[in-house]
Amino acid sequence: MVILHRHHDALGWALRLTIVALALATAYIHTTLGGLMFMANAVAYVAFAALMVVPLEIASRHRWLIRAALIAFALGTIGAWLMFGARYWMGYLDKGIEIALIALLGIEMLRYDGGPIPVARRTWHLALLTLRRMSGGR
Amino acid sequence: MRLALALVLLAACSATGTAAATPPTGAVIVTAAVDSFTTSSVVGPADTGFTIFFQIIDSSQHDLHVWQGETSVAATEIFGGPSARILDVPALASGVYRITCDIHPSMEAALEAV
Repeated sequence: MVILHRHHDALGWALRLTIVALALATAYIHTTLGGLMFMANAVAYVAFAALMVVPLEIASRHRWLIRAALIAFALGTIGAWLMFGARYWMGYLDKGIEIALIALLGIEMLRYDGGPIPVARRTWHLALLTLRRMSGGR
Repeated sequence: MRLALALVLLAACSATGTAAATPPTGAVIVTAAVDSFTTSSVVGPADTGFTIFFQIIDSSQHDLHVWQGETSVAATEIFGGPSARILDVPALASGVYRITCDIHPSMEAALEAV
């Protein structure tokens, strides 16, 4: 089912489009580095960017989870760079983009999901529900 | 803003390497593509300075970093291919040294000084 984002105001749209642009920018930078690891990272960022705007009911319903997953993914990418990454201008630029991305996702999280604590609770409940279903319980 | 500019300048100044189209006579040639060196070892002269012609044959980004144990001996800047840089390596005692790429941690080869 296709739905429109009726609840977004102008600021909401600007925020969302900037998030998508930043995700695509860091994806592009990762594609220029070469190698499977960086390409997989780029593909993941493109997938997240698409999931942030795809007008499907299931994506819209789980946007809170996509947002949280994208924050976690960007944090993981920054962590990997801190451990193994090259310190040069493009690395710093890319980390700047990812930090801005996390900040804007955090603002969205506050606007639409009530902040990180409610998101953590929802994630916990979703994990429990998934585990129960996998183990055959109700 | 000033901090970012300082970081960029620091990164740009901390590595060496001159752009080049063809290898100078007698240069050790090292080639990189995607996320690997095309050879697991190269040989250079011991006890005298020499040059490495480091070429990237695709559009990926790399640098060439020469190590003696954990000590950096010489490094090119990080650059994108297809392109090449010439790296002047100081005199090395005979032995085996590591060459790596700072972007791709899995890239490692041996530089044997004989």
